[in-house]
Amino acid sequence: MILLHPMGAYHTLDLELNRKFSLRKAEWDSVSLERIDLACDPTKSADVAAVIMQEGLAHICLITSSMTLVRAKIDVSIPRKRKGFVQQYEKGLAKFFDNVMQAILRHVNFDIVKCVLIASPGFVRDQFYEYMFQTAVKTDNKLLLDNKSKFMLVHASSGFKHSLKEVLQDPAVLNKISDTKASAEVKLLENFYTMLQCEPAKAFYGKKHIEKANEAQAIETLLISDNLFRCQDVNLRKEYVKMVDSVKEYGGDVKIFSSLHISGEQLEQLTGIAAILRFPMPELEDDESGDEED
Amino acid sequence: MSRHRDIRNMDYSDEYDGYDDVYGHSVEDDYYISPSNRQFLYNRENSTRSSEGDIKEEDEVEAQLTDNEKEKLEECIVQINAILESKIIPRNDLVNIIISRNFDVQRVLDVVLDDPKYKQTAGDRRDKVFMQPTTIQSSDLEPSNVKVVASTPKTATNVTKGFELPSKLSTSPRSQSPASGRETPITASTAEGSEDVKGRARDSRIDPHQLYKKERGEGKEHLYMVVIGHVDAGKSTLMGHLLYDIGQVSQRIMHKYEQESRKLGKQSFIYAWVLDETGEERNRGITMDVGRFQFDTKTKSVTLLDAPGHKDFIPNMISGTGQADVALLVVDATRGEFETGFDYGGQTREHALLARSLGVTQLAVAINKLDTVNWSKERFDEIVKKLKAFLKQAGFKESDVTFVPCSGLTGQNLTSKPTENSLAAWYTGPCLLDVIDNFRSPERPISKPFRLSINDIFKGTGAAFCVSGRIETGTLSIGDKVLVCPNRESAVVKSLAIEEVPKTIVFAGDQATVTLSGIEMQNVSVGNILCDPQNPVPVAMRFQARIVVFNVTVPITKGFSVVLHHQSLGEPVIVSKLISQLNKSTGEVLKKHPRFLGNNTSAIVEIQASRPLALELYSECKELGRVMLRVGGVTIAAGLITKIIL
Repeated sequence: MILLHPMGAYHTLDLELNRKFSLRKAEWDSVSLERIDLACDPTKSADVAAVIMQEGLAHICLITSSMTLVRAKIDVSIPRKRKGFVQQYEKGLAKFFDNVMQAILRHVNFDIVKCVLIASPGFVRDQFYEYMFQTAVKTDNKLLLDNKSKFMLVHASSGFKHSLKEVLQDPAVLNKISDTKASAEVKLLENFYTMLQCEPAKAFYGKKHIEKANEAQAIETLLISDNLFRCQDVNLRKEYVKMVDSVKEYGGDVKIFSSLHISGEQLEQLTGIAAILRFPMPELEDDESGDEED
Repeated sequence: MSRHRDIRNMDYSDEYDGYDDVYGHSVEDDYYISPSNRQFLYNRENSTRSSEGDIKEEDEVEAQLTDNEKEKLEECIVQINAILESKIIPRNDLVNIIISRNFDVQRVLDVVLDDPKYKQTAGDRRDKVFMQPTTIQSSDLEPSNVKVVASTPKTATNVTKGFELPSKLSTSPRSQSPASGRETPITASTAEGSEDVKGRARDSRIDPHQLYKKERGEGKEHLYMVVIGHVDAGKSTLMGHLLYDIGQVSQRIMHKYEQESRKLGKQSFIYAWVLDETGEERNRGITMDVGRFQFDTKTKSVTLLDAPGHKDFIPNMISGTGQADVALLVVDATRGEFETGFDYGGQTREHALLARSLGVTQLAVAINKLDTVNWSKERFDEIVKKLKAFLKQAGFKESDVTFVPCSGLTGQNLTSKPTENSLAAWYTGPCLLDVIDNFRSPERPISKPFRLSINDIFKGTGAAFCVSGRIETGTLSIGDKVLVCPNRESAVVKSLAIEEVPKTIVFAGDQATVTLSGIEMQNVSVGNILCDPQNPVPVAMRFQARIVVFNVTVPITKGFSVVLHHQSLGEPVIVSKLISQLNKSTGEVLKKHPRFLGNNTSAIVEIQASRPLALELYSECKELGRVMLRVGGVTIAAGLITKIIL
């Protein structure tokens, strides 16, 4: 089967497990080759489910090596405690927990998922964990009871999606899910921010600054969002590929972030490209025009 | 389509409850009508629309003016109205006269006073129009006076229509029901008529100060006080003991708490149980959500908001502090404990900064648990010295901060002079209750457009549901239409209450519970703003703010994702642009488009939300113009909204 594709068009075709197929492309750049390599390596995938919650709000996410999927968002308003109306609060909370529990049962496939993280501020996670297993015992839910060991309680500062970043940095979580790309990316981005705080002349972002740093062969680690390689403008795309190649050539490290992960999303907001340098380049900092502004 | 659904679910007997209290107000304004019946019904909204032709003319005249001239014009009109008081001149004519006399108030007045036409009409109308607001007032204030209630609609109908209508229409207060409305000439309301309506609306808006005085003048001043401080500083215990001492909590209840807490082996928490009511809070021995209690001092009626101290519950603390006028900061005097709370990352520091950024200017500091250090004066002085320096830096005026030594558990120096000799020996200042009594109630912005930020939604009795929150500005009375922003859903106020006491009108600064009808519970969420439909709050996804960055471990860059706290709302947002870095004290631009913002900097940034938010400029409404930015459980910046990008 041969498909000729116009630029930017999508096409769906069915593939099966263990069926061979060949993919042809006029020009393979280094970045695409690496991606294929990564995709073919099954050992690099680890499946983790995470429930990020706070009172009245929960996100149920699936984390795979290449992306983070939000499968369900539960947003319920729970009445606050007030004089003589504590029952309304408690009833609201129980209903919320029930919703979250149903969503977990619906969206998490315990055959694949190795670990379910429950993250929240305060005691919501403990309350929820207790509620879930009490209910599981009551309703004799084998699925949950059998997988009890897969649940893990972690601290997060809020129930919003970006708190996932904190969860993936928790040392206990790192031990359990060790080598997922998601947590490695979070760590890298954190390093970049720390560098920006401590030695601002060694951390830069934005295309113009990075290009100049690259000319000076100063880049130690290049963080780049894979979205930049998907842009419509072929020339621009080639520029980025060239940059990646030249950084590698000078002995720098290139990390391609998945834009479908939480850290990739953040990098994308940060112009999609950032770098930690080998040596400080204060001259870049003074360069007012360097910062891209529309 | 939702309009159709609503009518079926409507509880008619319930809906008509407050119906007789609404004057000069066509019933259709508030209720949904099936489209097939609509054509037969009188609808004020339509009728005012039909009279738009007349209003337009004045707009046309005004439209030709420049902004500057318009301002002048408004000024003149206000002055003239103030001088003429009861005389009403159609705005249209007035505008023409003003323009022809070149914005000279004196000359305009001469013309108006000399013109026999206006003299006459003014005299005529005085009785009709100006009787109305007074009757509304009196009946609002004295709902028990049935006679007034029954008789007023007659005049109200006549005046609002601007016509002498056949008397059969106004025989009963029900005459404005949809059925009889059919006979009302739809094209009837002329420019004069709508002018009257406008006048009334404006009058009822001018009055709030008088109303406020009438309603609240004789009572004690109301004060909202939030209690803040590091976790385990003893906030709930201190306040629980205070409430017990002044007799707000009965002996019987206290006895019950004592026994129950002993059962759990947490006897030292008995006073905290007064404010911590959920099972979870009692078992864990920490406050999780804001507890509330009302008590009276000599001159004030105080509503106490007991904020949680634990780091994870700061969002709750923010929403509690947003409602408060003054704050009581509780610190633990025990060696080591004060230091942990006060160090970087401690909540003594964060809470004080938050309170200041949320607009609290008066602060009392209770130095608690002083019994654990034998009432040592040195320890007290040491803590006072450290806190003074910090609070000054945080922006509190030295004269607005009071320090009180006390002990929440033993109850020393709470409501009366200390009996402990070692404390009485060196402390001669006021006790905690007197310090609270000495707070000044701030000025309430009651004449601004109505705004209420919702911090709780719950089911009331019956089918209706209630929202509660602080009225930031303006006034609200039963029967008012309100708009729930950012969804822009309209609703009608069915009843009002403050601390379970029913009211007919509530004012800025009050913590009110509002029962709404005409809206579904799912369409309202915590953090929404209730506002005046004539003067709605701006809704936007993007805005600019001037922020002050606190101590941060990672710098703020473009694209930084943070949680925005605005009143009770917590919303994930992105710092989409760093516009300029400012000098912290002078506000002058240091650098345009900075790459990042580090510790203790000040800057203008643009913030992008993923869904519309109801916001106000700080310059227009201080209460709704403040935002907090938090990330990873730490407050990283406080900001003021400087520009709303629609």
